[in-house]
Amino acid sequence: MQSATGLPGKVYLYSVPFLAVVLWGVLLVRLPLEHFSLSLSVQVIFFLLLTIGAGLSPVKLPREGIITIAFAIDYAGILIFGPPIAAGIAAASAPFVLRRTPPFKVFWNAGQIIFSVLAAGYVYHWAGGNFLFSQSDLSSQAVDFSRCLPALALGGGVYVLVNTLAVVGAISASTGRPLLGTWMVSFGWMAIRFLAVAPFGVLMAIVFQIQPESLKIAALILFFVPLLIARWAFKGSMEMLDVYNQTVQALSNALEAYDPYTRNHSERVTRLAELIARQMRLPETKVEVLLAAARLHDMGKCRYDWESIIRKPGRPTDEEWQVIRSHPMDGAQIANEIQVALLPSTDRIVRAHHERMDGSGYPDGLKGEEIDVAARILCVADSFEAITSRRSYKSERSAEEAISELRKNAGTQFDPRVVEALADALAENGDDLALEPISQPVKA
Amino acid sequence: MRIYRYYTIAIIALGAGCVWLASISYDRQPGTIYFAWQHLTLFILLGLLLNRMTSRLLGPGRRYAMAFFAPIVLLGPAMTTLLGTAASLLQGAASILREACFDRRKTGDEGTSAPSRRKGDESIYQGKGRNGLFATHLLNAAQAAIAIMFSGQIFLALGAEVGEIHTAPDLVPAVLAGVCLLLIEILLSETTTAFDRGRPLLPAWRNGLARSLPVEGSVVGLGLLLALLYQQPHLLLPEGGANRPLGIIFITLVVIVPCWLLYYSYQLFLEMRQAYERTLRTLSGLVEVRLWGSSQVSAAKQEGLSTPGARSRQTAQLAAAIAEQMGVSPAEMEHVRFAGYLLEVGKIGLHRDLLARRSGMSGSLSPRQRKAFARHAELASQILEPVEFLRSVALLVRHQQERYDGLGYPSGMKGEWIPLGARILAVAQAYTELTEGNEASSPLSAQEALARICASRGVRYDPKVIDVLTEILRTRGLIPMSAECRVAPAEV
Repeated sequence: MQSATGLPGKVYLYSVPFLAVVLWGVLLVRLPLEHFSLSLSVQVIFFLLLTIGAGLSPVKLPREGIITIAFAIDYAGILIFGPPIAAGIAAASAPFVLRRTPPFKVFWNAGQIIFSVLAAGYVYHWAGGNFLFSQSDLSSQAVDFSRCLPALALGGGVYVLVNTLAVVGAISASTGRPLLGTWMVSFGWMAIRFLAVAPFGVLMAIVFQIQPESLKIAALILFFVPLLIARWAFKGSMEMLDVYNQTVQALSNALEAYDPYTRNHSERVTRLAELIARQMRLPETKVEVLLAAARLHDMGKCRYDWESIIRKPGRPTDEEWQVIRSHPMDGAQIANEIQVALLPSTDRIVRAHHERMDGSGYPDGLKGEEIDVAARILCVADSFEAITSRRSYKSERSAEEAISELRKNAGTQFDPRVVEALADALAENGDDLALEPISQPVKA
Repeated sequence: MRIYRYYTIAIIALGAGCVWLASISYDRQPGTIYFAWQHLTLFILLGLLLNRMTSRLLGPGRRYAMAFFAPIVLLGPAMTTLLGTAASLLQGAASILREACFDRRKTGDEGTSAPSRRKGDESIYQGKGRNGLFATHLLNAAQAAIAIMFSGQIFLALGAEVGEIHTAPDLVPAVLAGVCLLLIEILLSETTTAFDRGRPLLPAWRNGLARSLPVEGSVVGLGLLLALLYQQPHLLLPEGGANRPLGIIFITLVVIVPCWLLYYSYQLFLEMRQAYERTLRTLSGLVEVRLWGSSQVSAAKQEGLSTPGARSRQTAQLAAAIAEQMGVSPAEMEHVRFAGYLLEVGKIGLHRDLLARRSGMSGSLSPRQRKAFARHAELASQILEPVEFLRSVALLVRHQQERYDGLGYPSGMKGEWIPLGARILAVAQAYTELTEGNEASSPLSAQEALARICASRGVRYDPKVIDVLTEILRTRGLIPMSAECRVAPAEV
């Protein structure tokens, strides 16, 4: 976040928290604070404690950002106290949720939450919703939430939208990635699930009105248990996703390390593919699929005694050709077998990474635009890596030689646009691309 | 199978008894202020929706009772029994109807693109005729009736009054009744599944409780919350809100969406774990192909030997079975299973020549080479090191080559110092290797393999683990009941 690129990004990053605090202050002062009673302050403090408790162990999302069940509580806060007080409560919990985080980042997040809560609250009110504490004199009133269904939905939607867009805005301002694409990748898949947390908030606001107090506490417990279990399970899934990625990485590295010449091939291909994709400004969702496919693209070779075929002098026999031509299909099958929920499926791209632009590739003989752009990129990255690295049967060649080799076959084998993107990307940040083996080989 | 039939008849009879009792007693019970069609519709709607969401997650055997906790508190057991039974019969009829439609469509286009049934349904209907289908749905309804009636009676017996929760102490009987409802329902449906598939009861109960309690408990808790809110007329339904369709929709949303979120997260979690295990299996299969070479894999296929992936799966399953019998925790069992898949990963770092010698293709191993070979366990733990989650698994993999007498690798641990999982894995792997055979030796029968392992009893392998293996082989009918493992450790 500190290394913002460009002036608009910097302006965005630094203005959000300050604007939020100013806006919040103005709105708070406009409340009839002289009516702020003792019982109201007790309830506010109680609510603040709940918010902090709920946010204590945030769930890390697979890409960027964290999620806490605090949304449910924030939303309940809006319905109970009204936007300004709820925003104050939500923002006050930020330092507790984001421990071990630089102060400015905490400040920034507090500002972002203030914006989300205020926006959701006022949209809810505008759409006809009421608050349990009347905003005109802070006295408590009964609210029939069942009559505010559209307002409730609208308020929840605005909260999710403002919240995620603000975070994605910060990410895209500091990395230079496109706003909408990053949002789609990071939050698009879960915006609806996130929204499903809102009824928890409504339920909590209803529970909050239960009398007497002892029954209210019991009801809050009944209410919190499912919420905590949902959170626990969701956290578990996210952690499992992490573990999954690590395991696939560790074992595929081990598989490649079997042959010293192909060691780290996939890792280098993945980096090249990312370079090309960024140069071509591919949509973020596409980039993600591409990278996942690049990590797995040669797994199909593991099904065969690949080295003995490749190292054998002379032309491969028909049978060996069969094996060579079927490895993308095997790779696709493996990619399909190890497919996991929440991650994009990569089998189609792995399958097509040896197709050629003129239709003479394998296994399906696809042509030109029929081949997915991710597969075309993967093909170029794969070939570039193969040319520039040393194998038992050939020595390595320089990047320039490789590019001219690729250019020679552009249009027939490779997509010319992809080849040029690679050439440009290498010209721009060639120094970054150390093609040395990255990790230490496993000693035998 | 016969026991399943008797069990089914008994449960259906008991369920019918509950329904009969309910039908003669409901008008004598208080709490009928909620006896209005809007509320009854709402309760049935909630029941059906909740059941639909849970049927995949909670495994075969549908569960209805948990969704009817709010009406138990509000309407009393008799009325609720009727409601719950009606809802489950309704859903049963619907699914039989759907089944019939599917059948017709399937015969229409020869099953080329017959729509796949949902996972949960498939497992219920497996291998049952039309009569079996009816019986299954009747059984579900009967289970619901029993669970609702019994827990409802307990609720009344504890001195609670239907439809009267106004203070915190009023909650105590309700909570206890909720616990009863959960226990009866989970145990009944797990018993049904266990009998149906011929599995032992106790582990089925344990697994069922562990898997369902968090989710079902939350649903019952939310049901209690709903009942509680119902008693505060100004909250949920001010001014006759239930008479507006929007009011009903509102309540449904406020209850169902949190439940959906809960199910979604839980389901995701379970699926994630399954996918993870599948991934481990696939990748370990690839590792083994690398070790064997594809030509040997196809040769093995032709000779009817098991292919490598299948072998590590067998080791993993056998090891898990032994571990279960020895009463380790479910988490530890999982470690053993995962380690079973990953036992051979380290061999990827060994020299090809070493592997070829070891498999008996070119000469045999010298002591030095044997030592080098044993290093693969250490290499495996190096490979798995980056994965924090697999730390305990990596530990088991690392110590798979330890010997009970302390002469193994890499640490020379002795006896009980070796992690239990590693001792189990050593035995399971030896057994799989002996019974499946390799290039050097042909497959042995179960009894011969066991005899070989017994020869190293207390030397290489833990006697207790061998005893458990013997027991498992006996119950599986692979060795005669009289077979024993009393071979004096003379050689080796």
